[in-house]
Amino acid sequence: MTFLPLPSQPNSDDGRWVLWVDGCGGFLIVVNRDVRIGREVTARKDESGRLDVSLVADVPRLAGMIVRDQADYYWQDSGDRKWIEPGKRIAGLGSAKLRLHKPSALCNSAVLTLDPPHRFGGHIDAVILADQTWLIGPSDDCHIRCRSLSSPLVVSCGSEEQAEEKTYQWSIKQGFGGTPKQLPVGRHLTVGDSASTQVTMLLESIDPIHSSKYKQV
Amino acid sequence: MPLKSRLAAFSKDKAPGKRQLWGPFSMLVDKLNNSKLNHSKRDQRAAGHSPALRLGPDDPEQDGDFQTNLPDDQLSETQAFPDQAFSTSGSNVNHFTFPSGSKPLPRYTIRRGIGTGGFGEVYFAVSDAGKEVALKRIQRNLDVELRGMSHCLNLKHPHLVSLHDICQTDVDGNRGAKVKASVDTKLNATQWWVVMEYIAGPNLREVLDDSPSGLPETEVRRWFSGIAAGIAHLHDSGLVHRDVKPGNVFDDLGIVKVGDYGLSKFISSSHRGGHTESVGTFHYMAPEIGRGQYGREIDIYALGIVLHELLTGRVPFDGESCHEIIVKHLTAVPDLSGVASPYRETIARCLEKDPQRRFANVGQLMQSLNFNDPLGDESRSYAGGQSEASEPVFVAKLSQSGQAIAREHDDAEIVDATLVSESAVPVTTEEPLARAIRNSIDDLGSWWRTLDRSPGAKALLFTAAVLILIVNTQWLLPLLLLVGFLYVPYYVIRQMVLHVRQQPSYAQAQRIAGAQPAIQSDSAIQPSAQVGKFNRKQWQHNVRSGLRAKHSVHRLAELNTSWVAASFLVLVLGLIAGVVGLRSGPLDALAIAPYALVATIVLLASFNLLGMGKLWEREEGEGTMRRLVLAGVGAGVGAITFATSDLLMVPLSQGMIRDVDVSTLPQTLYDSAGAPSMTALMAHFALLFASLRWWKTVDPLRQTRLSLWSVAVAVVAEWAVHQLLPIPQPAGMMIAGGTAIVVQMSASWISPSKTRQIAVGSNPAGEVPTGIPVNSPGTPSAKLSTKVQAIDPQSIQRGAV
Repeated sequence: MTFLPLPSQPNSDDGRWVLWVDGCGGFLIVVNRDVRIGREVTARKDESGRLDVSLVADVPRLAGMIVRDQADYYWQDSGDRKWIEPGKRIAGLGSAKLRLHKPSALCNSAVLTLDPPHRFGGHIDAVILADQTWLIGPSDDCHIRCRSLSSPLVVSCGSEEQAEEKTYQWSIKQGFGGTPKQLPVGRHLTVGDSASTQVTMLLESIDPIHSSKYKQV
Repeated sequence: MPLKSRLAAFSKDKAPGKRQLWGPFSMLVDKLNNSKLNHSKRDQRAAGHSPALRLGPDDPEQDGDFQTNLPDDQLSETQAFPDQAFSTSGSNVNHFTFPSGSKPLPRYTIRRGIGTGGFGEVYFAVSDAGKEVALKRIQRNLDVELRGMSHCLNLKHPHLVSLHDICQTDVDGNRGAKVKASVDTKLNATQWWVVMEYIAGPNLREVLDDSPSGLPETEVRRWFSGIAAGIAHLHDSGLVHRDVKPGNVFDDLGIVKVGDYGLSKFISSSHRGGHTESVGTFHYMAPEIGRGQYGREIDIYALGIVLHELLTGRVPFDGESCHEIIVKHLTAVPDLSGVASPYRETIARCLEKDPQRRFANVGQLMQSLNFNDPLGDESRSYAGGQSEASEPVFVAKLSQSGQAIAREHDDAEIVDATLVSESAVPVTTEEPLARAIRNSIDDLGSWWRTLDRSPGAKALLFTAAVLILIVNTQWLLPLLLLVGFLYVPYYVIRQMVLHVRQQPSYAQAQRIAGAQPAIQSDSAIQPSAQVGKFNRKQWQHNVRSGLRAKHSVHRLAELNTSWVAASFLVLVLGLIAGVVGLRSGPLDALAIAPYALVATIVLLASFNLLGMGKLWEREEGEGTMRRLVLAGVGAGVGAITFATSDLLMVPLSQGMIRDVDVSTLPQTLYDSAGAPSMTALMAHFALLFASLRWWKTVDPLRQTRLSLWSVAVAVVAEWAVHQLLPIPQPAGMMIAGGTAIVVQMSASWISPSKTRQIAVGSNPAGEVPTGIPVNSPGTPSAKLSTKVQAIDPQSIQRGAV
């Protein structure tokens, strides 16, 4: 089966957020199964809008697409679909060295990183390709490594469709046995082990207009 | 300066009114205590009684922080912070005042907090035009930070984090004003911001945390050459970083950059002399910082620490408390066993306690590591800084000819300014009265020389002075004698007190310890001179470092033990002497009294010698001054001997073994029966004590615990003094010999062989040396250090031996 990258505007199912974590970094959270990769174009907003992940690098405006299929990720450009080996550089992006990591075997979520000197657009440090759950924690087997935390946080994403509109609801819990709490969009949340260091994070929707449809519980 | 005082120098605020950096010892301790308090507060929060929900000040229900029950899963939520409604009080959580999305500085939107440092919070922010910057909110030590920043504002170097601007906002946070030339730091109603280059990559601290055993050599070279280039540029600009540490070094998309040089200050003699603030971080803090006089040598020192940490993953001086770390910086010899050449020699020289023995500049340091770029092309520093580049990038500090530190003229000027002035730190204090008299005599001599053009007047004046002296001899001589009687005891006591209080400076200690490297090197290859596999002097140097670091309480405890042992020994020796001496004849009080007198004097002398030896064990010491102090001790012992003999009614006229012609004895010292007066006894024991190096017999590093040779020497010396100033014998020789025995047997002693066993046991690897100062590459001592076994000075310090 061959996938062709189709430039498209974000549809109603489009789910992208930016998570700012104090003392840790900024992360683009993408829940789409198909993630469009390309060059950041600041002059034309409509061009950037067609991308899920933009690179500040000499790559085509729409370089390709990362497709998640169960636990595997594939790179799809004008050629064939290729399996992405975690940790290996994704070919076909010129000098940009984009890598996909799967730090935890407990979930299918992955992390996209870009080797120096290139950077992602949008002032972010990494991209989380989220599939249901992902981890924030002190060790390198977490998707977001936050050294100041003493134990991992589990972030989960649920969705439901109401009136042909898909809404997402984020939750977060301390450790694997903790009680899930809502991770609200647009509101600051302080998490962590109160016996050590806590971190404050803010989950923002990429599109402010979009954020109005997220349920606030 | 005593060790305690030097430690106190870290905490002493010598400049009231000046803001303190967070470095001073007391403040750091306070910070530690505060952190404990904060920790306690967090514990309380965990118990459900502490603020977990923070609202903005415009919240209708709350006017600030309030408390709520913390969820059992320890998650807490903060309400969204409305724009322009920021509390200036610090958040209880994570210490970031401004949340993401806020704009406390116009045109910049904060995205997240990056970290907090000694001066305030650092945020990642994006300008309205999309420029990524780091915003540093100055909260503490405002004047120091702004002064440093304004000095560095226009520095440009690929390995330095760029500073863009310094801005201020009013208390509302919605107005900004840029600062140009001058910085008015006394405007309390303003909030100051430093706009800096944003570094996307990790800092070296994080990298090292991920590599607990150190980095690969190529990475070490990449990091270190970048750090060195940045620091060298600061030095060339007349600045000292003063806080070089991994947390202030960043990997900016492959380029190593040194940041946080807000502590920087210009090198100048005035600043050097007047600066009183302790700076930096404990693990990277050069020993001379405690004195408040330092230059770029402290950066060289910190570079040595960082290089050691890059290679091994650990700092050379670590400890469980800041106090312990500081003491090690002051006294301990670094363990460079895990470091290969040429890094070992370079680090050893960087970590010299004496700043003047370190590398004079970064260029020399890098040359010792063979970090050279034959092309001398500065542009390669960028290319070399890429992650994949294995080539060193220390090129920015190379001149066109490839020589380090380009401008020799400027460099010389800076070196002149940076050298620590020894005169500013007086090693010995001349007695003030003597100094005044000497100065007066010098002035008188100068005036006298001005009369050379009038020889007649000089002759007249000289004759008049002589006549006046002759006429006034009757009262001048007694006056001079009185002055002498007052001054000499005063001088002796003063020297004793100074010896009690005086500790060698860092430079002194290092000079004393390593005074004869050549001798060490030469003797290092003579097997007969070795202790185990160590040269004896090297062993003493090593162990002496541990003795210097010994805590005063431990020293006092050891002294008490020695005193108890001395008491027991005197009792035993007295019993033996009594049994032998009184085996025939009557056993009455009159017969026992002389033995009791001898035992008392031996005990008294031993106590004094043990006490002085404990004070002197830190260093080899200077013989003349110690002899002078011992003369005072001896005089005291003589006085007490006279008093005790009078108390016990022991006749001092008996036992003058020497064929003494009473008439030949000084009448002022001996009575008509030939019995010595108190003055005679004082003079006798003063001579006895001053003539021998008693501190050697109580030195913990003496070769053997009991040297019979020392006992024999003491007895012979007593006999010699007896020829000059006779006292009853054999009591005198018994006192001398007994004292020599008792002090040796009761003074603490570190067995070289035992030390070596312990050290080897504590170093399972047993393959590498520790603690041997490597003075220069290629020296015999350096070569030896690759072979010898380890002695851990800390085991001495802990009293393990």
